[in-house]
Amino acid sequence: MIFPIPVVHVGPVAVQLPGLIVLLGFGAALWVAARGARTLGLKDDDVYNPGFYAAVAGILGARAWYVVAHWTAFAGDPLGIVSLNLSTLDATGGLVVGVSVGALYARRKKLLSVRWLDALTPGAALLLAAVSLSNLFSGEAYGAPSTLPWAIELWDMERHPTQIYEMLAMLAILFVLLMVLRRHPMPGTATLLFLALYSGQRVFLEAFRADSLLLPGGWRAAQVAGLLVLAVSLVMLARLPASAPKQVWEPTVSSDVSERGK
Amino acid sequence: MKLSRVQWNLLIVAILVAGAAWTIASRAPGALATRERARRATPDISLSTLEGGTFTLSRQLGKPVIVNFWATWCPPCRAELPAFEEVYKNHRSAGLVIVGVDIVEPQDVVTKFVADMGLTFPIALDSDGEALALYRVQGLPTTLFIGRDGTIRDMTVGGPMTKAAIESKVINLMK
Repeated sequence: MIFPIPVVHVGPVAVQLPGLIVLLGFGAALWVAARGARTLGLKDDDVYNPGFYAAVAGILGARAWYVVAHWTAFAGDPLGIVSLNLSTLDATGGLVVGVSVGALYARRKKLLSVRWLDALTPGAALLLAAVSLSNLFSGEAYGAPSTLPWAIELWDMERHPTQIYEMLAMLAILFVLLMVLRRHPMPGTATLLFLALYSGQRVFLEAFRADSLLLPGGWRAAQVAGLLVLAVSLVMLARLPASAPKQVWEPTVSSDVSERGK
Repeated sequence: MKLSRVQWNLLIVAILVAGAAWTIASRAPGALATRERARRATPDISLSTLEGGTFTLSRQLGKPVIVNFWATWCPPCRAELPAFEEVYKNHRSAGLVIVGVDIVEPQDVVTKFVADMGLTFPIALDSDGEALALYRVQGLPTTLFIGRDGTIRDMTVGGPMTKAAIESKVINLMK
């Protein structure tokens, strides 16, 4: 059967709704992360600036990655490299380039720290919730057959609404992270907690999926990887002190040389 | 509530044991991937063509197929048809099948348009919108890239697609 992916027309460009949801989710994630950054004594720009550069680099990187992978096609039509065709973007390439550029920018501006990573975790949780919602509209990450009252019809049968389960789990993780960050815990706590909660929900919810990547023996790859990440993050969490000294959360002074003397 | 180190360690062990037990209990049956892949096979269609014949998708099994839904009144559809013609000429001898499915238009209108454009790949007529409904087309143009095994490898909604974009999808189909 064919899955009817909803389409939104933005001027001359037809955008599939799942992609639009992820884009909007990224914007909302930056906003949430910026608010979290303020709680931790950082500035909004410490999130927005690397986020902006990561987004631009991600889009360019997604196109570049796709072009390189299909170079023989673009060699005969170089103008196709700059076309508005959204179907010629490589999501993996975009993610790799975007995250790399964002991290490089943060490193150059001396933002890269455990506290900065903590500030990003609520935004990461919100972005993953948006990805789950987009999966609902694209028919991806679908659930196993189910007769429960809340089963949804997808791919020709009633199934667990795993996309909704995952979205709700990520929103719950977002709430927990915001509550924890308010208490000014030791730097690294939010990051490790995010990893533990995310991997834990993945181990649990993967069992309800029908499209799992399977290892020999029927083991679900995401559950195996999730257990490992869960173990490491829990052990590291247990070794962190419960709370940080007050001076850890004092606002930072910008270390950008160009701003000195203003 | 503060936990001692021993309590923390016990809690961690309990969580990991529960996680491992759940992972063991939820191992997937061997046929899961095969069954789910079968659900995503492309529905079959059989449509009359401008040449007077019939295009049946299931008869193309084993060949890479591009199905392009279009109409003469759709500007991006018109803009990308020459690119499809060029790709068809480049890969026809290698077995690539391209069919343009015109949506609910009079045959004489389509015939004149195709002749003016100089298109040589098959044009099928979806006179009653059956294919439009079956494939749940959300907008024009919509292009399906179908592999040799009959499953949809990619779908592009909107256009115009460039020659490079179409060629890049064909590379994946030819494998």
